[in-house]
Amino acid sequence: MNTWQGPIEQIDDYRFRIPTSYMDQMRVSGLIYANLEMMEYIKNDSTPIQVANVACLPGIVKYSIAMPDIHWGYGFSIGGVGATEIAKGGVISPGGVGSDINCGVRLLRTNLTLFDIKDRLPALVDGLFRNVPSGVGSCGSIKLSPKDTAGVLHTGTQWAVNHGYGIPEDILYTEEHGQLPFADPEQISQRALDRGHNQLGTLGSGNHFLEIQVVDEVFDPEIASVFGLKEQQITVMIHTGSRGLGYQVCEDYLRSMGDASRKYGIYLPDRQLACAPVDSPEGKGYLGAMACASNYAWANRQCIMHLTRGVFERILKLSDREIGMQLVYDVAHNIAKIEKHIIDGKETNLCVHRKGATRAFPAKHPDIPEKYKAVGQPVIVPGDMGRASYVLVGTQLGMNEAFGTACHGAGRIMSRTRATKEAKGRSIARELADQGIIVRSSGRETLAEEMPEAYKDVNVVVNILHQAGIAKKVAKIRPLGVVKG
Amino acid sequence: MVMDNTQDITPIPKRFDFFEHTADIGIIAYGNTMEEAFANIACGMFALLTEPDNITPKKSMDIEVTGYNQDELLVNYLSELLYHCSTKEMLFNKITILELTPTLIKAKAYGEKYTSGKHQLLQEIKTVTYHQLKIEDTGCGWEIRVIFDV
Repeated sequence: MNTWQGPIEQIDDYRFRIPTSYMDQMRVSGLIYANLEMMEYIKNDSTPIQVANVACLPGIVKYSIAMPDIHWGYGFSIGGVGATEIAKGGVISPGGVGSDINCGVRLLRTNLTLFDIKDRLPALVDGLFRNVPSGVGSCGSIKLSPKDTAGVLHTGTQWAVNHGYGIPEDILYTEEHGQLPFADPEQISQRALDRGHNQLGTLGSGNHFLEIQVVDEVFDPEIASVFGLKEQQITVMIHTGSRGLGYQVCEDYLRSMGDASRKYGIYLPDRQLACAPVDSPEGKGYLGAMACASNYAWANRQCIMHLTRGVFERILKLSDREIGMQLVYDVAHNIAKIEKHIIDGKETNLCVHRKGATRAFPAKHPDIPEKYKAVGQPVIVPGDMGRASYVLVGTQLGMNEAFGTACHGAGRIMSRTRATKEAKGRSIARELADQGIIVRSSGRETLAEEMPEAYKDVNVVVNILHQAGIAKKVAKIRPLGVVKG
Repeated sequence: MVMDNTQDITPIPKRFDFFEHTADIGIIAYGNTMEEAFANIACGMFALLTEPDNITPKKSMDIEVTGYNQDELLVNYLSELLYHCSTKEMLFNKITILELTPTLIKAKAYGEKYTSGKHQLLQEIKTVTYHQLKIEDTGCGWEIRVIFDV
């Protein structure tokens, strides 16, 4: 891994710029949200090169942006944001979305407090571990017929709710109502369908998780109350994506986008930035396939939420009304969207890539739920399993500066191999238990790979965005029980 | 009594090594020929997924893949094997390369279906990447480097 040797200009305490002078092909400058200490780490990770590479994409506007949880990824870094102007030949790149299309998080609130579940916590974690399939290649009890599959790909959350996995209200509190409109199942390969037919309602492995949590600290009581959150309240967080179907779509299109880049004569500083104009047949093809995989992911998280509700009712022997498990919000953090933003004073249609970055729209934006219009969109930021997760809210400054985007998590700091080595001879489960956190995991190595030290401190990441004004802190949530893949 | 047999043991040439990379993991595979390196990189990939010694090579599968160039061919070939793993639950630990050109590969992959209890799945590979991908004649054999998105 090369250390960054290029220029970095400090704009203020939390903003750094990579000037276009770094590389001839850069069309815009790079903008990294970080503090001085974080910047040192970022330079050693060579991610600024990736930020500069993205700045070369045809049609890119304003800046190639990196969030403070940035770390190295394929093509785009994780934590990378790039928006291209469609009318000016702007491109869409599978490398700007990632392998796990619409990987995302949803946060559920309950009427319960820590006091209510304290004694039942081990049983709840066991119940979730047994009832929500997790681990490598996990397959679920929901088997999709070809007709069902088409329904999932077309209508995402709507399909799930129509088939009894949830209530209509859940749809309202899901980004895009859990259904991207331009889904085109014709663009999905048989291979992707094969990989997706038995994975709905499964968590998968790696950093995906299902967590029982408690609201630890509220920073903005007014906004927290609009989101239905208060201190000591029990919440549940679900982090997963489109599983094998999404990986296959990424692979299929990385392959065909290689040809398309050659066809359109697009300069690629990195093969993994293969792309095509959004308006080309290849671009539309990927957009249609990506939308299908996104809808699959929303249906997946919706089904897992339904399974979670069932587990809570059975274990606690309480009714759904008593538990009151409701969706605060569901956000996608690996996705490309067609959105309107103001560029040079004019409303412009952009293709916004958010790879390891979360949409964070401000108050009054038409795309956020009515109930949240006065305060802004909830941004769910999962941390590692030992520290904390956050709820933020989108701001107008974030809208103007970063296409209405915030970070997506803590950001990995240690390779999986290194983490496994560092954890040798330690019991991560025991260490977490000592902090009062119960963990269950399917994979032998998962807990070591996912140990808290493998990640940046989410508190620092979130503070950078809060201080920069890109998103504001609403509440901090701490883990109580974790199911890992 | 301890016997010193070291004289009689011919060292088995190393087929592959793992190396770490930020969030992910890479494999470097070796071979006297490019074919051998292509076979070994696939075996290395399955060693990431499960313990290769627990796989009995009792079933075979024909693989035929094309690519625009050698790099694409390599990625497409590994992706093909992963696809059979994720949809047909096949685990392979022996590969015979039948034909290899810069744009075409024909191979026979030997292994068996995943059996819970016999095989433990260690991790999931999301995709095979092009990052720092290398197919190289080092002068004393071939080396292939691939990084996997895990």
